Amino acid sequence: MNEPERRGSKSLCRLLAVFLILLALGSPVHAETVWRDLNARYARVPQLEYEGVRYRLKPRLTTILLAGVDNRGDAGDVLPSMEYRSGGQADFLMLLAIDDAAKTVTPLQIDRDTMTEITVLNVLGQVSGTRTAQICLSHSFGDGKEYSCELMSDAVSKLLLGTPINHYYVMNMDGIAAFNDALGGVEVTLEDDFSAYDPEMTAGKTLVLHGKQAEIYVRQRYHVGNQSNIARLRRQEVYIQRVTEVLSREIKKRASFVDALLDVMDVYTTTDMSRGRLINMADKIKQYTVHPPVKIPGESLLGENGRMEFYADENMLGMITLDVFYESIV
Amino acid sequence: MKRTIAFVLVMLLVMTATFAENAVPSVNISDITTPVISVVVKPAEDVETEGETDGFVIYAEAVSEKTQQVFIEIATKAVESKVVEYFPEEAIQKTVELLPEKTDTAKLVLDEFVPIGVLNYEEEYGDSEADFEFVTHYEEGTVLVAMIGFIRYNPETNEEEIIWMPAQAVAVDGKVRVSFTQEILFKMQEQNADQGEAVVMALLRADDSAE
Repeated sequence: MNEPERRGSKSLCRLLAVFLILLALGSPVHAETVWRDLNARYARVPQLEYEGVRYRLKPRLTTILLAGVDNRGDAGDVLPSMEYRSGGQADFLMLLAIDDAAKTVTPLQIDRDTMTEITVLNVLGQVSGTRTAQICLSHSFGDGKEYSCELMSDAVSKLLLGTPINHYYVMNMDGIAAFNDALGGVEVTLEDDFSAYDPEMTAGKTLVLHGKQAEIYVRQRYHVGNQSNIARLRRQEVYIQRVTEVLSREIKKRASFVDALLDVMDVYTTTDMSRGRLINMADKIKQYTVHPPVKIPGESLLGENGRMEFYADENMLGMITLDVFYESIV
Repeated sequence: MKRTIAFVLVMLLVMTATFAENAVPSVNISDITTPVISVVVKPAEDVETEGETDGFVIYAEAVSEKTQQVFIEIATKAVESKVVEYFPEEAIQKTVELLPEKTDTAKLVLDEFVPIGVLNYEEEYGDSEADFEFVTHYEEGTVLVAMIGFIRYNPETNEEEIIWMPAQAVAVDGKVRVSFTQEILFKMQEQNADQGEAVVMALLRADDSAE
């Protein structure tokens, strides 16, 4: 896969590249016949009018919503009345626009604090209405799995002028420990003291991270060293480097390792795409041009309840949406 | 290619970790699901009351095992048949009087369930209203009714019972304005938490799409 030369965010582009490549790795082993669904041929192509101009969805476009979910705020028993309001919030959102005609992939990054209309559920899990709130909360409603993903996809669609979201791929951050252990643990040297979280994790110690230690290492910054985000980002880079080394070693030993890894991570992911579809898609777009991530400009404000609120610039949001997903009808 | 293999799963998880620890506290679902209650009607200036209080408050109580059990019973009935079938017939008859004509009570759904309490209420205050800000932003015209449930011990039957009294509820600026009669507020004030008594409010909404 060609790596784009210019990137707004290195890590986001690496995310995209690896996501696609890893799936493609599995393709020689697991490629399967995918019967083409012809129903879509007769479906009406979504159209919209914006400032007097008619647009239609690009004809050979597929949209996939990637999200990382954190439901750690709901640790412990969930009250019966909160069962449908504890799905976990989507702290990371990125919508991929895969254009088969232009052979491009455009990632659209969505700020989790984007204020937009989300669907809310009553205490019995039925739709009770909507409200304006941070888009990350759209996944909090539902079952924490498919239903929550559908509600989240719906919120993203509404944000983007009703653009259809074809698929979603969502991961739970509980998977860090499982991923780490599936590799047999990852060795790091601790520059800072993490004993506030794990007495074994003291400064200067070299140890193989196991289970929750991996999550502590990449996630925590409060009560760790100078508590800076920069230091945490550095730890994450180190962890990724170590993981890459371990993975490279394990894959050399057995080609099926990646597939086994995906099997382990299955329980931490929710998607409406079968493994076969994922692999076929990754295989198809291996040669596509990946554009730099697109960010929606706007303004971050502190809300009345002391929480961050991001207000997307409406004009720019419209222009970006039309540019990425639509073409004008002449 | 192998060098970038690690990123696909780790990055999604790690990116989540990054965003989860911003300097400004991240919004949490409880920020919008915890009801905010404000009493709208304060006692008139010419009402003489004991003590120095200039009003009373209605507040959301913490959920207890007892109030959870009530919720479960209502939810179970909702799954088995209809929410309305949980409530006594007498309470439903009074509810009908508070709803618009031709409202089908079979279409009532349970939107919210919250234990509530009142502090410093005195009978002289009379009737009052309180605005409840729930997670749903209710549009004006939405058909609503509040069922106030009093969980108490009945010495005659030696059993715990729950008495339901309906209260009028309307949508105002996205919130739910509940009209509490003096009778309801006085009963709320009389509830004795030390003896395991509690008050709950079930907010019902007419949903035409309900089966």
